[in-house]
Amino acid sequence: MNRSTSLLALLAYGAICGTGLPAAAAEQGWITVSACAPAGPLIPTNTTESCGSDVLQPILAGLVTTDAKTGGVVYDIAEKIETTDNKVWTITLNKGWTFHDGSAVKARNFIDAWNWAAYGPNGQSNNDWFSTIEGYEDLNLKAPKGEKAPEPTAKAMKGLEVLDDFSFKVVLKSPVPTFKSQLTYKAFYPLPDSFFLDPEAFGAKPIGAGPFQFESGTPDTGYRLAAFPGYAGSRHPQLKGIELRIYSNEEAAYNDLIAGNLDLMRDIPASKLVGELWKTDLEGRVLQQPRANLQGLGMPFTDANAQLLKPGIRQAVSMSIDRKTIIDVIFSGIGQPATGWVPPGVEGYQAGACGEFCEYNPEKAKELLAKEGGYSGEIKIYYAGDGGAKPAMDAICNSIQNTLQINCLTSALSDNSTFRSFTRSGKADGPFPSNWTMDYPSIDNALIPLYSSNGTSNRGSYENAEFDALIAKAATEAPADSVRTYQEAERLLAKEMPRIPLWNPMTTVGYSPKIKGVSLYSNGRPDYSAVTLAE
Amino acid sequence: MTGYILRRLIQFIPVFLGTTFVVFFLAWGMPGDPLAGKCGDRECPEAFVAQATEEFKLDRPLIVRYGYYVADLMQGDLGKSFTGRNVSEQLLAAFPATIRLALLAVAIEVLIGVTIGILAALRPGGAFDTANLLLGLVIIAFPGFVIANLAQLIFGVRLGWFPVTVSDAGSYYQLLLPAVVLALAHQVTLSRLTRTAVIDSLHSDYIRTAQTKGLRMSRIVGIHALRNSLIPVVTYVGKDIGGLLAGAVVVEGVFNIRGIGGLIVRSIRSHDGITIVGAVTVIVVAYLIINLLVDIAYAVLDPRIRYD
Repeated sequence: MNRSTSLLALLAYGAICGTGLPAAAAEQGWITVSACAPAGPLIPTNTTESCGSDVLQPILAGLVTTDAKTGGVVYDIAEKIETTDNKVWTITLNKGWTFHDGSAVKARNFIDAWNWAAYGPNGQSNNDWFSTIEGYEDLNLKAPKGEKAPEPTAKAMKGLEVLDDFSFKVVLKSPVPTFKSQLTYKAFYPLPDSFFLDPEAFGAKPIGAGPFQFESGTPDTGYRLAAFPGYAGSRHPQLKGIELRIYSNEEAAYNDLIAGNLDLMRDIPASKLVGELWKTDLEGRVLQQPRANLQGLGMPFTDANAQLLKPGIRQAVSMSIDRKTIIDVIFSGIGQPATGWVPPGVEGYQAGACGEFCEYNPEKAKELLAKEGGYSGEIKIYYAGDGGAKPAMDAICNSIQNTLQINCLTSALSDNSTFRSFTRSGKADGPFPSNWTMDYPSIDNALIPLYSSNGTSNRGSYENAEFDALIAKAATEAPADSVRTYQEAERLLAKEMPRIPLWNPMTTVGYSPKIKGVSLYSNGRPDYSAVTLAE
Repeated sequence: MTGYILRRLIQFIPVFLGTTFVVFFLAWGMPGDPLAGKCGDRECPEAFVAQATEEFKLDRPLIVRYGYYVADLMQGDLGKSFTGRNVSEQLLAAFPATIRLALLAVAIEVLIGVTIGILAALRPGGAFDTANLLLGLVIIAFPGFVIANLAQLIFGVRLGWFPVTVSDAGSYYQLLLPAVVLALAHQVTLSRLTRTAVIDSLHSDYIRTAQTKGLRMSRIVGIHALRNSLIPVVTYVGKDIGGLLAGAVVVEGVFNIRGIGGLIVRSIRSHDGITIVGAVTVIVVAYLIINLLVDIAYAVLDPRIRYD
């Protein structure tokens, strides 16, 4: 009864108060940008989904960042990052940086943040980023079988040491030549002292040292990010602020864009890419840029389908897929066929790592299949029914069927969770879409987590001793040499095809006549500091 | 009457518990690991999985978790979703837009539907009645999202008469176009219902009596015939409000209204059981209350109906 009265009150509340503001044009100097609702609190070490990351990107600053133009790793808060053995790293900070709450950015803001995120009981989704640091295990005790993990006694990793206010030392468990690139990822960004007093409050109103500061907002109302006057970096914003407007439907955002109610939108809906409709609608105010992402076809890794375990058959399947035509027809030509496992624009990218096996070649595909003694039965491609994978998977199936005369069909699983559980279980007896978004733009991030035998995201439990040996070798080398060794490891993947590379998608952006200078970081997010207002 | 209402309110309790029970088991019984896919393309780290399992008691039997849920519910705590947001906070953010949209749509629907129904009933089979029937069939034949998208494109993007989308909470003005779109399809059924009921009443003895007494036609139809025709209309409108609270998903999507329908769809997709149960439960309670109001309205409209 209590509930029903409160519900009546709720009805009345909804009907009477908070009539909401009309969708007025943004104030002078501000731009409106489409966004999606972050799924969780805006804590950098616990944000892995893209909606939250979109909101955090303009707010945060880290030791290093990527250059929106060249894609290279450049210093941001760090003055220098030095190592002699890839294992012990000395990091010196620029002085004069402040957080949006006015406190100075010091060495301990990094170390405290990393220790907090790595501390197991805090349950951060970016926890495993710190597993390379000496002493990570003390903060993440292994659970005895069937029991809960004991509470760690240590709260700080041995490998982190403050040298003075503006420098600190990081000792890694084993050498990581690309550690500097890893630092571009937001899990390594500093947190102000106020965070540790009340992480929940921070999650609702994040504080960083980036060019824009959080002014107000919730996942339901959208966000206002104002230019930060105390910003100490080189990416000084020209805008007064960004208003992030939440859309649950990209068609709705697109209609607002062409009606002049929105200034910038990323990921134009597929229906508007057909026949280049978006370019006409927006009179050329568009941008498309390769995204550091690989769309691939994961392979079953158990004897659920023994035939697909044979490398020859996998290669034949790969060669039977007409990637170019599928991109042209299904994605209106937006995207490019993948020729390896590392997306273009990433440090260490090499064209054609996969060689002829990723090229459409019906004759050779048939030959390979015949050599393996053919394929009996059907190939079933599994995908998550709630995503947009169906048209591409159907097209791949047709390609395989037409080329190899193998009966191919697609099977939708109800949603992403079901799909992930199923493909991880080892029960899948057919290929499935398996994509990878680069966390930081360096070749090792496209290889180690996925194909090394203890990779954190090696869903297929792929194991290859030769590959592991090369990864271990690269770890001890100087950065330039290590890249060459990683490239060798990448080429090795063509032998067994743990995942068939399909294509590298592109980010599509449309903008209003009000703004110019739109450019994107390699992670596909706009560089708001470069955006200016058109006269 | 008071006793009747009290009895009905007491009946809410078992219905309420039964619904939470069924929805809870359906929501958590969905196949697949609710934590799978929570960390983007990466696999979730062990520490994250362990913490979430502990917090949401994912390792306990469903019936035990239901016990905890009801215990919290009794203290007015709808729980926390997987994303760390309070379910009650999410509902409070989503309900205003939904309620306003529903009320506005129903008001427009009643205005159009009842007016058309009466006019059509005055001359059954006449030009207006036939034209309305045909037009109604055309409207019904169009799927909702087609009408919604067309209306948005024409009146929002091209002509600029209405806002293209609804930002944040949604004002009545912003919600006008979506409400008209919703009302358009619903008024077809309503006008047919009204028409039939009014025709029925017009053939009654008391109407003839009124006519012989020399009452004006407008008074006969507007007061006597209409009031006695309203029972099916009220029943339908009651059902409609309930439906609109949960079911305006398509129109909500097109006009970017962040209401309850979309919240439920998003929660189901992300396997966010706690939010699903909370949202559906509140809608069930709303349905119960609206039904009660409809039943009370019967007694008001028709003095012959007595509940005590």
